[in-house]
Amino acid sequence: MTWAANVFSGYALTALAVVTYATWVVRRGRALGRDLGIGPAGVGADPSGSHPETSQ
Amino acid sequence: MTGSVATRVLGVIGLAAAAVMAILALWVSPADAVQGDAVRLMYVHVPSIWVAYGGFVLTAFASARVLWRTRSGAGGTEGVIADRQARHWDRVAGTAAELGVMFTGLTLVTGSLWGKVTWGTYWQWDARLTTTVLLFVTYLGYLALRRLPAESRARARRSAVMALIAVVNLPIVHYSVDWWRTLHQEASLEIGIGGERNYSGEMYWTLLYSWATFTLIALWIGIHRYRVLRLEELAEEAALEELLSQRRSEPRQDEPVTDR
Amino acid sequence: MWREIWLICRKDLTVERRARVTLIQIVPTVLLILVVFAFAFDANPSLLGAGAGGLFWVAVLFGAVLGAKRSFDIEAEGGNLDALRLGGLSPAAILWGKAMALAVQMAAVAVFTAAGLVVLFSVAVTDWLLLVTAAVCGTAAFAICGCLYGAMTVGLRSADTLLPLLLIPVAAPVLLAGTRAFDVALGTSADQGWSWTALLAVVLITYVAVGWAAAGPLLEDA
Repeated sequence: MTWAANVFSGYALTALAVVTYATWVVRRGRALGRDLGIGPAGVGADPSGSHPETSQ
Repeated sequence: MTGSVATRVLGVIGLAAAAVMAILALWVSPADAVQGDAVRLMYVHVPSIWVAYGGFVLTAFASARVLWRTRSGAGGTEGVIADRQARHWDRVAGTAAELGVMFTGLTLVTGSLWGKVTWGTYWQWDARLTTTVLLFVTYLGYLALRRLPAESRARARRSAVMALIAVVNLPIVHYSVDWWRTLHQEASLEIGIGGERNYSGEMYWTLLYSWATFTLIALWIGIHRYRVLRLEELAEEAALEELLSQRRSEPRQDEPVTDR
Repeated sequence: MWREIWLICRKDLTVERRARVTLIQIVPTVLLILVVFAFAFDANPSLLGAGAGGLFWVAVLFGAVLGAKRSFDIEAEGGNLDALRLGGLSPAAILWGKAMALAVQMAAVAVFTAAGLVVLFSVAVTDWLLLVTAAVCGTAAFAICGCLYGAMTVGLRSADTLLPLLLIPVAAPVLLAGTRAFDVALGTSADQGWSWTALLAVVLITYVAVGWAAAGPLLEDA
């Protein structure tokens, strides 16, 4: 096997895994935010992200 | 809805850094004298495991904090604060472990691909490889344990204990596997993974740059993942609230309501 | 403290004496593993002899997974664990009592496994002291690990499938060191058998320490 195939599949697999995971995380966040009725200024607006209930 | 101004900036920087990294790693940095262009896999392989190690260290630290904050219950306001901090560290532990598992998995995959070129096989029962695969499986188990539904405080404490046992176990695993392999094959596979010292300056800087890029991207995903965990907790609480209010609006029944 | 540990240990052994789950379920399963391995290696005597040391530990490890599951199954139903704690027993006493009972049962499993190896794989022991010391340290380490992870997963819905995933990676050093020590004791290799046994002892001591530290957080709100 040549180096090129392995090097490029290594990079491609890494990129694919990271992008897939990131997409899943962001989508899940959106879906949950929609269900909870939290707008764009929801959890993300609090930099610590931990205490959104204090703003309610 | 887990984005904020800060994460957007971080995300853009991460993407730009990744683009620059691809150019540096695949084009600008020189080929290795011994391995040729196969060495370019180092720039994804080594940063992956560094980020994974960082994730597992953070998991251990956060787990210790969880156990510390959930010591036998302080009451009143202090208890509420302690509970909130314990939940915070529990989410940090879960997020960091998840990233650690993903990057360990990537390390194993890119390592196999690299090994196929340099050693001629995907896998060797080398000490470092064996330790890494055990590390991977251990934290897969940790994530599986976290997923099981349970009361949140109990689950947080249980996961924290598991994470700390995993950390205590790691040196034992490493030592025993190391001893196991070195007794059988002397100084085997140092060309590929162990020989970073021999690389030229440009390769060294490319490696450091790749590590910084991976860290940025992991941080970006981690922040979002943390917020998703927070949202999941909120959703659970909301569902519980709804259930309770439904219960209250129902006509009273004779038997007492038990919460078990 | 010792009285509490003894109490729990005796309770578990009494349950075992009545139900005989270890004796009539776990021991036969472990012996079956030996038979299945003979199938896998096409009953090749030289291969089986060379691998006998490792087979012993693989078989005992799976026995320990089953034993740990069983040990906490009897506590999960009917809120038994809560009852024990409300009865004033300390978490550490519960953990060590159960670990002790599990160690006794695992010792029985180990003896049957060793007998099975002698009969089925015709192995010959060259160093009894090394064999017994390694076996005692290794099975005790398995028992403590098993109890820690059993306590961690007690009452969870998918504990049956999760326990092996959690336990086997942690038990890997015991498996490695035990196999090396047994290879020497069975005369199939000229390794440093006692050094590996020393490693087993270090692992055991580490798990005793981990058990002391983890008993509280694990069993207070299991």
